[in-house]
Amino acid sequence: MDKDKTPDAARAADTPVRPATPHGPGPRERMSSIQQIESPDDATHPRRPGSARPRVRTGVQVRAPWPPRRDPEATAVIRPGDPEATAVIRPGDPEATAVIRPGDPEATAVIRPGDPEATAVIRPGDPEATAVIRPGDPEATAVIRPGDPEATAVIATPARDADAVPAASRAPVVPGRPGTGLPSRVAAPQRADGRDAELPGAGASRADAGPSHGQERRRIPRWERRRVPRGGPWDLGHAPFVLLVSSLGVLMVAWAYAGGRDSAAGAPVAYWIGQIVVFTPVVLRLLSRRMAGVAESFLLVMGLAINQYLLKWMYSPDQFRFPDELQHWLATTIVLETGKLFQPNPALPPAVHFPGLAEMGAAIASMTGLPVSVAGIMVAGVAHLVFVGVLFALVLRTSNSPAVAGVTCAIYATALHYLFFSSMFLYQTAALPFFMLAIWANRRWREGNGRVFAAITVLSIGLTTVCHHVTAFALVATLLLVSVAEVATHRPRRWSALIMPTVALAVVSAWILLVARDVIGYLEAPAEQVVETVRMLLTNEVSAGSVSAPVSVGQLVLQGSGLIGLFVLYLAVARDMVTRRDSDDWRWAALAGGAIFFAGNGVRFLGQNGPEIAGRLSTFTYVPISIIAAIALVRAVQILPARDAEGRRWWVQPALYVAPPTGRNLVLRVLAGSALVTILMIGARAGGWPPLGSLLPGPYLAGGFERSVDAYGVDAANWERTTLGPGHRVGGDVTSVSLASTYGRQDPVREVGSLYYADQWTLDDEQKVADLGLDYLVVDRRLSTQLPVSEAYFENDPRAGRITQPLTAAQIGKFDALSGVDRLYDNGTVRIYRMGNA
Amino acid sequence: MNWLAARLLAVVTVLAAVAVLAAPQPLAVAGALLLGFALPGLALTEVLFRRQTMTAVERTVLAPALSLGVLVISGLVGNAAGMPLDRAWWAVSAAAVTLAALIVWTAVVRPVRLRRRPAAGTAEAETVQIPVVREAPSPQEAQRRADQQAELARRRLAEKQLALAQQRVRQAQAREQRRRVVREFLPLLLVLAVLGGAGWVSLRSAHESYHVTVTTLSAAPPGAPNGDGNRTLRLTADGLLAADGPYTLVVTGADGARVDRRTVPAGDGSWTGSLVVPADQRLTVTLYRSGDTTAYRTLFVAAS
Repeated sequence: MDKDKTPDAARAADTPVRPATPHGPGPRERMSSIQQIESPDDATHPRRPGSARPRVRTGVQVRAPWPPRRDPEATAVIRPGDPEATAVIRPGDPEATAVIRPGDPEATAVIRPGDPEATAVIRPGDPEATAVIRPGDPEATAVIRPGDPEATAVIATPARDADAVPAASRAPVVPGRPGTGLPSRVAAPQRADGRDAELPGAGASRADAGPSHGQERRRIPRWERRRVPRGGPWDLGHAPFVLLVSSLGVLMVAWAYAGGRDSAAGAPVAYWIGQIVVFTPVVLRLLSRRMAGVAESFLLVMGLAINQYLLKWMYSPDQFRFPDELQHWLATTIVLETGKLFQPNPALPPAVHFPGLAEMGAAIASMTGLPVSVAGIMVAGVAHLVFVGVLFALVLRTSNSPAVAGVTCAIYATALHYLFFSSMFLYQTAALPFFMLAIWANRRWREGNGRVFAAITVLSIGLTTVCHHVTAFALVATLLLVSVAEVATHRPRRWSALIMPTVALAVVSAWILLVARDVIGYLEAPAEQVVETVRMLLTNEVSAGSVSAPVSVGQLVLQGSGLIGLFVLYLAVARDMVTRRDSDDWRWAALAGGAIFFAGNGVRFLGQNGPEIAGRLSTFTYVPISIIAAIALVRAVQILPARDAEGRRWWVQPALYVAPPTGRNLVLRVLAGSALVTILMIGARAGGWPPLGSLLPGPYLAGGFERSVDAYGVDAANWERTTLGPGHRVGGDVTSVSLASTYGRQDPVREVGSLYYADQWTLDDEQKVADLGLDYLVVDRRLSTQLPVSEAYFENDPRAGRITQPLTAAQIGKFDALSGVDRLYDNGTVRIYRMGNA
Repeated sequence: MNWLAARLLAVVTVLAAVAVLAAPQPLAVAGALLLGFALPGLALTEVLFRRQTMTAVERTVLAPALSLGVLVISGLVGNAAGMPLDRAWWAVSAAAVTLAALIVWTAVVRPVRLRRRPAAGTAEAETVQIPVVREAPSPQEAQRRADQQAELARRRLAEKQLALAQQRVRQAQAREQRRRVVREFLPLLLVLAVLGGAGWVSLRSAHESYHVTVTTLSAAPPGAPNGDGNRTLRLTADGLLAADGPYTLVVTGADGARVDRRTVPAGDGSWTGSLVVPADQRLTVTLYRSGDTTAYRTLFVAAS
């Protein structure tokens, strides 16, 4: 034995690695809640009818055969669930008795594996403590994770090579899980020579702390090395270099944007190359299975989020141009000017009762003295980064794997609205961090980590509700999904899991019914449109509203490929969970959420608003599908499983442990995974926001939303505010109305399309002006030179999707000839008419 | 968080609040960002999760998350209390929450932690020294004690040597740590430089593209006619360029007859003037650039 090694380390190094067998409990890394361990004996040794499970108390499931067989390979798998539970196991050897009372600080665990002299006594004390024991018999290994409801305790007795994987290699990354570096309160078992036996858990602690703690070098199987932080918990690994490459992509996109503003020919190519350079190196590194640990993964994820936020900011770095941002710029400015909340906002009336974002923006703007647009960029950026960070923390806690957490966040970055809509200065961006915080806190509360997490959950529910209506509804649904999964997968039923969704429903309902009643009407219209479209589809009726906007074939192929890839991964994980009889409630919740994601994608074909509704829905449903896809990619879940001895392939319980791919197989998997995620990203950029025709900033585009905002429109809006004063009813095209209602502080009138399309001014038009109470009309002459890139010039455009030629000069110029109409503003491009009602 | 960190946090909070309320803008920005995004969350995390096991990632994201939450809640509270939500309110409320959390930490959390520590010094202090009369030891006893002392000395020496070796190991590790910091942070500095460059490219490009001079001619909505049947028309021309000037303003009636004509100097780029015009006819107001024969900007004013 090597003198430099502890007895256990030497033993671990000397013991050959057991190859994966379909019936043996080989070395396992899948110990966390998103990992899957079931007794392999379940399939081969079904329980006798009527035989009782070896539960001493409720909440503990022991899947070992009972009564015990004299099977040297026998394995008992315990999920303590209930911290109060007590399990008594005799796996294999009738003389080996293990008594575990996890959770109770006063509990004592006693293991007498055959040899009366080999006795380990454990007093966990801390419910989150971890004990890893090799009592007496060097070949008997017990791993206990008390306290954690989702933890798994594994006792392999006696397994000849059970500790082939040293405890250090099982080192988890989340405190409260094994080998966290926390001081162990477990009494070391005594060796025959009176010395303290080596506690692998302690070894793991040192391993986590890095070599600085004098850890002896242990031989760690190659596939396990990635779980061991090489340079300690703060080892950033290759993240700085990867982010350096990624930042070069940001620079490339900056040049592409500059080229777009100058209408340079190569700008689109530079844009796509830049997007890939920003994104793909990070994904490659996250999938490489060689990461240093949490610090590297977290840095990569946050670095990617920052880089991608910069891509959004650089699109319009000098001012807000996106219509939604302009609406919330106004809401924030109103708070800043009046010093009060809940003041009317003509640009977006429902936002009045969801003032969270405006409060944040007003606070930062007033404290710094910076303009609202600058403060808003800061607030949106911080909120976006917090959202990504909490998502990482949530998945890290549920998976205990920095790779899974990192890949989840990277895949989520391919959501349709991630790059722009979810990071703009709008109220959903403010609500998303609280949404995710509520899920995270609820998770920790359900883990039994204390009432403070319940309080944080309730607080986060309240903050989400105050910030954004749809996010609040999504939070209720998500909490309900997670709770139902917990109730369904645990015996006895944990009905207390339903408390949080009930609280969330009460809070959201109270806010909507008592404070924000107008939001019901606001959300009613798109919902009714979807319902109407479904009805028309069922009855084979056709109308303009039921037809979705056409999508290019290339875009369809790209997005379809990504979706099919996701679906294959989803099916692989689902098959794996079903065949393993998975009982992890969070994993099942993610699976159900993934199903909702695929169903939600069908909404995009339901009418004109379908794509937008599907995109908004994916902001929430993309979280679970990202988790599922990350599990599949990181854990190398078999898409095409090998046949078993009987030639069956699909519905056979998979081997308990399958060695992860190495060598060429690993390279191929990493490349394939990175390619899939990159395709998803490209599909999201092509199908998300801004639209494909406006991916680059540039000169004015009719009906181009942010591409329609330029100095001429802004000047006209500013004139409306300074000369006319606020509150007049102003109509115009999409952009004119948006600018008039925000910078101009006017009351927008959106149903004016027919006034423009009329070739001649008629009494009907006069009547419409009167009916709408229209005071002023904004006419942009460029509407007569360009087709609208969004298929519509106006909101509620009567010719949306059917416009084949621009408005004519006569249609645009007919207002000049109206005797009762004043043209009070002219900047050569934008003209403003007083319609006689003012 | 230890006592020193708590005091440091308190001092930084007070300084940040003072900077926001009284300092020049650069300091106010720094203080505001700390109060808005970091300090309340840091303090609340220490108080709320004092008994919880938290990862570094969780602590990292909780600080800004809770800070944003503090802004939202303090705004709602201030609005409900009728307070004006101005700079003073935001700064004072964020600082007050931070300091209140630190006070709770000092009054409740820290004493509990201190009580939980093994009170070695306390036990020693409470030990009562009782004088005893000892008999002279026997030679065997003296030898045994001498051996014990020698053994003790050897042990102490070994412990010292061990401590020294450990210290050297720690120093070597610290050196390695510093080297790694350089290895890892140098690329990160480059990342910042590249991102800064990208931001500069974007800002400059946007400025050059969008910040154009817009020349406008506008009129305030004309008022009611006076007793003479005239009304005052207040005209404004903005974005006038010296290179295009001087401009000419012409007002014509419905029949094409000229009502007024005047030269508009480019000046500082803006011109405002009032004209008294007949109210009973539709007027056309036209702005011409120097040398133009066609109208550059045109307004129509309907008859009242």
